[in-house]
Amino acid sequence: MKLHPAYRACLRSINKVFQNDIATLNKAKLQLHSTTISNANVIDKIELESKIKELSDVAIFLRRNVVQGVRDNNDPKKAFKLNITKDTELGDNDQGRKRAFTPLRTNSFKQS
Amino acid sequence: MFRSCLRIPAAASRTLASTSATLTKSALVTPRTNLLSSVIRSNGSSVNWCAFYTTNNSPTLDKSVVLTRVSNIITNFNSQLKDKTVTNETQFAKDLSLDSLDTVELLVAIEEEFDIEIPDNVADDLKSVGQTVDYIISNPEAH
Repeated sequence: MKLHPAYRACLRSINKVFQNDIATLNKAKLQLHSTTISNANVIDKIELESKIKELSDVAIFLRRNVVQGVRDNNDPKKAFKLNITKDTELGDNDQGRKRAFTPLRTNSFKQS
Repeated sequence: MFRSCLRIPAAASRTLASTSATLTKSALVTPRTNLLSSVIRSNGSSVNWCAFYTTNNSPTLDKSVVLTRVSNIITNFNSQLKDKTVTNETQFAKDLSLDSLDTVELLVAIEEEFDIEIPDNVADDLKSVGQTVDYIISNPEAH
């Protein structure tokens, strides 16, 4: 498992789930960068593998479990509109558990 | 983001064009802009469809335009790169002193600009601005 594809996937997920939210985007990117740099001294192969796995899991987790709410100021109730994507995990707990075992293709994601 | 919604496959638009009864044979061989105007003239009712068609067939990307857009992203990437002159020969690591993570971040920013996704095996081999520009030109999805 290589670092760069995982890092790239995570960055794309951040860009997708926090789109248009500049403050959160910057913070998430900064945290991704600094956390990755802070692990630069990891030389143990197994530990390195698990760190990279963790990173690519974060990329998947963000896409499945973070839903952006955007407040619609034109709406009289000022309700939030949820930006649910095709990757968002929907359904009850049983379905969620089942889905957790099917791999998500992070690379084939298309901006919509 | 929005533009991608308007995109339809080239093959589909060709089918649309060939089935449009209003098109004359000569209109089909003229450049796309002329083709469009002739559709508007001969069939006023399909103006909406024509707008859709124009978006889909935006001209292919020009190398110098791509270079300008890429160099804009680079100079806005961080404060150290603000005054850099970017050419096709510029190398990410050597000339811009980007580490490998920075390069990944820069390429993702470029992906967003052109609304494409550079595959991992390609992205890891892109070391210079010129290579990146060539890849963007070669990608039919880029716009």
